[in-house]
Amino acid sequence: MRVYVEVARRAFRRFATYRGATVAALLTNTVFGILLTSVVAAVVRSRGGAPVDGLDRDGLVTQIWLGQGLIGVVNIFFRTPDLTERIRTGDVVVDLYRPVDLQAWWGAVDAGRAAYEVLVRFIPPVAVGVLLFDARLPALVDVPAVVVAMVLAVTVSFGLRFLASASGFWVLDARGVERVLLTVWLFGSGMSIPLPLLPDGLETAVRLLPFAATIQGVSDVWTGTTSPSLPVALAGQAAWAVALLLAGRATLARATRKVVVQGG
Amino acid sequence: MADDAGSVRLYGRLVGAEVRSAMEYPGPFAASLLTSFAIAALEVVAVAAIFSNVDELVGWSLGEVVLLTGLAQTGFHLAEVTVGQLDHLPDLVRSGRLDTYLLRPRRLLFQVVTQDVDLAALGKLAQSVAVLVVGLAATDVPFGPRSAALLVVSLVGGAVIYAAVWIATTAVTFWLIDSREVSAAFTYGGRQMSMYPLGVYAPSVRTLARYVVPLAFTAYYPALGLIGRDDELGAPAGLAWAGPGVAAVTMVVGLAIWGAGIRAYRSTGA
Amino acid sequence: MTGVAGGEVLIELRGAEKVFTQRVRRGRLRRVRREVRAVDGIDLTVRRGEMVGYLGPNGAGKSTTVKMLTGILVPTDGTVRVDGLDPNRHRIELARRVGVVFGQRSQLWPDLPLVDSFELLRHIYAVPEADYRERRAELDELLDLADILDTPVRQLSLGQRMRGDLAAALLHGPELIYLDEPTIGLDVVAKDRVRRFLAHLNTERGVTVLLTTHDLVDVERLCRRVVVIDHGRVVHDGELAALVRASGATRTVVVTLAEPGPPLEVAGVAAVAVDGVRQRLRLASDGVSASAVVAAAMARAEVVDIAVEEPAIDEVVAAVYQRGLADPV
Repeated sequence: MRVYVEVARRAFRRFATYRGATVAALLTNTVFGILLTSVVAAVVRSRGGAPVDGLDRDGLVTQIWLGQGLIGVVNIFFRTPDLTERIRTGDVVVDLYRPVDLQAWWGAVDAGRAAYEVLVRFIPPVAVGVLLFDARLPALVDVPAVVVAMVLAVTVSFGLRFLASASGFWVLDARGVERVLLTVWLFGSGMSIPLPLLPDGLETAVRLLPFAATIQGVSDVWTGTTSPSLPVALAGQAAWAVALLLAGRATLARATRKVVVQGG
Repeated sequence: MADDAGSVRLYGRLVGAEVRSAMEYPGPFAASLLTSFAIAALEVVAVAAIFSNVDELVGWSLGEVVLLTGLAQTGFHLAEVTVGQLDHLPDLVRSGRLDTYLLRPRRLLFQVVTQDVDLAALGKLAQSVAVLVVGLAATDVPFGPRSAALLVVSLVGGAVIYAAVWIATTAVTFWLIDSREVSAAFTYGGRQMSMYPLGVYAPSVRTLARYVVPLAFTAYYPALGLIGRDDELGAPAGLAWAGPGVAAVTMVVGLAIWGAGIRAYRSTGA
Repeated sequence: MTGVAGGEVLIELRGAEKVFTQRVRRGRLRRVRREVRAVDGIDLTVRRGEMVGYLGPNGAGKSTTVKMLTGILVPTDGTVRVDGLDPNRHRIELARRVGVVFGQRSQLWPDLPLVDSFELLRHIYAVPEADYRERRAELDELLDLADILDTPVRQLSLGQRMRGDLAAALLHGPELIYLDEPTIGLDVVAKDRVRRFLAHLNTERGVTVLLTTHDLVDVERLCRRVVVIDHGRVVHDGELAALVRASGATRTVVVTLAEPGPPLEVAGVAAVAVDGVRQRLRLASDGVSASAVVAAAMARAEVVDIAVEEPAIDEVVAAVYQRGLADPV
C-alpha cells in the first residue's frame, strides 16, 4: 500500500516539472473557453435569455469553464502515454513479472498526476471564468459532492484510458484507438458542447455513456442541475468507475496470460 | 540552391509509396478512412445541436452555419493533410532526428512536413467536403462559374492561412521545446472560431480574426460572398476575393517566423 | 598507413568558438546564467585526402566541432569553412558533398527494409541512376550487404546496421565524410571490417575522413594524423608517433620466469608488476634500452620468455589529456 502512495507522490513531483507544457495548455484552455463562451452566450441571447435545461447563461458559461479546467485533470488528451508506449515496445513484460499490481500502479501514477493538475490546471481556468465571464461557484453545501464527483471523474477517466492502453496488447495501433476514443470522448463528455444543449433524445443517449461521467457529471453537481437527483448521479459515476476498473482487471489478466504464454 | 522542384517530385513519390502500401490492405484502409469520416462528423453534430435550442444564431440560420463549418473544416483539413506532420517537430528535436535532416540537401520545412503521410486525414477531409456540400445546398448557393471560382479561391486561401498559422506556431518549438499546445490553440482554436459567424464574438476577438491572424478569411467572408449576404459588421462586399492575397501575406510571415526559429535552433543547439 | 597530406585545404577552422549560455537554477526561483565554452578557439586545417583522427574526452567539444562543420550549429566566433564555403550559409550545397555517420544514431528508416532506405536517400540526394547503381554494386560488395538488404533496419544487429549506415552515407559519392564513433559497440570482427573499409575509402578513393572516436585502436590502425582536443581546445595535432612521444608514456618489458619470485630490481625500470611467473617491467623513460633491461633481468633470474609492449594507447591519450593545456601545441 505504501508503494502506491510513493508512486503517486513521485508522479506529482514529476508533473510539477512540466511547467512550460502546463502554461501552454492553459493558453489553449483560455482560447477555447473564450470561444465557447461566446457561442453559448450568443445562443442564449438568440433565445431571448431563456434558460436551457434549467441552466441560464451564467450556468452554461460555468460549465464551459469547468470543462476547460477539468480537461487536464481528467487527462482526456492522454498527455501521459507511458503505459501505451511500454506495451508497444514490449517493456511492459518486465512490469508484469513484478509483484506489484499493474493497474494499481498506474492508478497511483494517475492519482499523483491528477492531484498536481487540480492545483495547476483546474484553478486557473475556473478562476478566469468566475472573474471575467460571470461563471458561478458551487453552493457551499454542494462542495463535498463536487469533490466526490471529481474523484469519481478521474477514476472513470483512468478506467477508460487503461482499457485504451491495454488494447495495445492485441491491436498493433493502440495510438489509433486512442485517437478515436479521444474524439468520441470530447463529444460525450460535454467538452465539444455542454450536453444540456443537445436535443433531448440525443442528450439522454449520450449521458448513458461513461464519457459523460468524466466532465459533464462534475459540471452538473457544480451547478446543482443533477437529474434525477444528486445521489443517483454520483451513484451512476461510481457504477461506471467500478465497471471500468473491473473490465481493466479482466483485460489485464487476459493480457498477462497471453504474454506469459507467448513469451512477450 | 535548394532543389525545390525535385523536392516536390520527391514528395509525390513518398505519397505514392504510402498510398500503395496502404492499398495492400484495402480493408483496414477503408475502415480507417470511414472511421475518421465518422469521427469528424461528430463536430457537425455539435453545431447542429446548437440549433435545437434556437432558430437563428445572431441572425444566421442552421444552413448558413453549416456552410461556415464546411468551409472552415475543409480549409483546415487541407492544411492538415499538407503540413499536419509539423505536430511531430518536438519529437524530432528531442530524438535528434532534426539534426539528421539538417545533414541532408533539402529544406528543413520540407523534410519535416513530408516525414510521414497521414492518409487517415483524407477521411477527415472527405467528411468536411461533405459538410461543405450540404452547406452549399442548404443555403441555395447558385451553381455556376462565379460560385465555383469563389469556392476554390476561398478554400485555397483558407488552407494557406491555416498552414501558415501551423508553421508559425510550430516554430515556437525552436524556442520553447514543445509547441503542440500553442499550435493547437491557434490551429484547432482557429477552426473552432471560424465555424461560427463573426457576430458571435466580442469586438476584440473579431479584430484579432480580421487583422492579426486572419481567420475571418477562411470561412466567414467566403460564406458571405457565396450566400450573397451583407456583413452586418460593415465589411465591404467581395472581401472574400481578397482571401488569397491575405493568405499569401500570412504565409510570408509564417515562413519568416519558421526561418527565425531555425536560426535560433542552430545557435543554441537545443 | 593512410592519409595523404599535401592536397588542397578542405576543412578550415580558425579561432572557432561555440559558447552556450545555460540558465541554471540556484535555489527556488533564481536563474543564473552560466557560460559553457564547448569549443574555445580551435584552429584546424584538414587537406583533401587526409584521414584525421579526432580525439578527446567526453565533453571536449568533438561533436560540437562536427556540428559546426555540418551547419547544424553556428559558431559564436571565429570562422568555419568547408571547401571555402560557410556551412551556415551553404548548408544544402555542402550537404550534397558530405557524408556523415553517427555511431549512436542511425539515419536509416527503422521500419523499412535496408534497401528502401537506400532508395529514399537516392531521391533525397538526387543521385543519378547510373551513379547510384554503380555505387550500390560496389558498396554492397565491400560491406557485404547482399543478405541484409531486405531486412527491416529495426531487426539488424548493431554491426549490420553500422554497415548499412556507412553505405547510406556514401551513396551520393561524398568527397568528405565525418564519422562519429563508427565502431562503438561493435564486436572485434565487425570493427575490423569497418576499419578495412574506411582505409580502402581513403587510400583507393581519396575520400577525406574526419574520424571522431574513443576507440584508440581505430586511430592506431587508420590515422597517421591525430588531433586531440580537450576543453574545447586543440592540445595535440600531429603524427600518432609524435603523440606517443609527447605523452611520455613508455614501453613495458614483460618477462616470464621459470618460477614465481620477488619483483626484479633492474636499473631503468620505473615500476614492476608481478603476476605469478610473469613480471611487467615499466621502462622509466624513452632513453632506457629495452634490450639492456632484458639482459639485466636474465642476469637476475631464470627467464623463460620475453616480450616488449608498446605503451597502451589509452595511456598515451590520458597522459596527453592530463598534460593538456600545460604543453599546448
